[in-house]
Amino acid sequence: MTIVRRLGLAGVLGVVAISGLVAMGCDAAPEGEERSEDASIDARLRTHAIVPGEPTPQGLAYLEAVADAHAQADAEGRAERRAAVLRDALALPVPGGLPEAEPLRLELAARLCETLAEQPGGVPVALDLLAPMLDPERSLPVDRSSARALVVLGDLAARSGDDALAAGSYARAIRVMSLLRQELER
Amino acid sequence: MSRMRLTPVPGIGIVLGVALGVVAAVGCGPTAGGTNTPTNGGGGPTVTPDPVGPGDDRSMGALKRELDAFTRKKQSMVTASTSDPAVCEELCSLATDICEVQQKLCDLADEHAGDDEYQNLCREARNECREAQESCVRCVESNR
Repeated sequence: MTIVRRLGLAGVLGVVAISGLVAMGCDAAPEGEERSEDASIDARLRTHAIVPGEPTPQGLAYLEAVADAHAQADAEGRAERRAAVLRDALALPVPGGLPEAEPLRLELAARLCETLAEQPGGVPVALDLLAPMLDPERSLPVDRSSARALVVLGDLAARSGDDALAAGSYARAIRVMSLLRQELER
Repeated sequence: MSRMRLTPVPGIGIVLGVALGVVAAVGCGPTAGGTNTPTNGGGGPTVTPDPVGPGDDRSMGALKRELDAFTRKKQSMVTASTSDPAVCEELCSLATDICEVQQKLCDLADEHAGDDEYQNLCREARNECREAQESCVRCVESNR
């Protein structure tokens, strides 16, 4: 109370206001950096094995269409055109009873996102596309395609300044590859 | 994506080829199981009758012989699974990729030196990298 009497109400309010401004001034990091410091790392990994389904003409047609899309993308020099080919392939409807489609879609998405990231302003677009597909709540196939997609996500996150997402994605990628290694050694 | 150089899964063409192959193989009718179980001279571990006679608790000697038989079988399975050069190639490729990603993860951890979460993940990744490299070496040496 002595301090309040000496400074007066206006003085106290002034001190509070100045303290607030100083605190705000300390928080000068860019938005992305701030999120990186505060966000905790989510390295949860849920996995499942791919069990080959019964062959169907629709399944075979899908596999061929994806293979064609990759071949077209290989031949395409311009990143925009390559991205368009890969995006169309990713939009292909997956026939029922084709579990093999899951790693193929992850491979397509990873390649598409790498291509998008080559273009100006493409990193956030690629992140928006890939992050939901690899959400820690979702189960991923124990397959190289999962590891590859997680590394691409990690690279995109690192480029955007989201270190927590990058670290979590890299850690999950390592665990998928470790599972593959253990399967081989079994 | 200069930071991303995960070895492309033996090429998407190969991946698709394998997928098509699987579809074709499945289409050729059922096979005798999906696992490649190595045989060990036509029999698994033989469980010898307990020397102290039926009805009694099994002796340490009998248990020891069973354990030895299982150990030999396990060893033969490990040797058989890693005697394929393609398996070694895959193991070593995985080791390379794991260690490459570990480097990226630990680079991030260096930037967050005071954060235990990053440090723990980096430590785990280093262990995975070392184990994967050891697997690769073991496999190659067993094929010499």
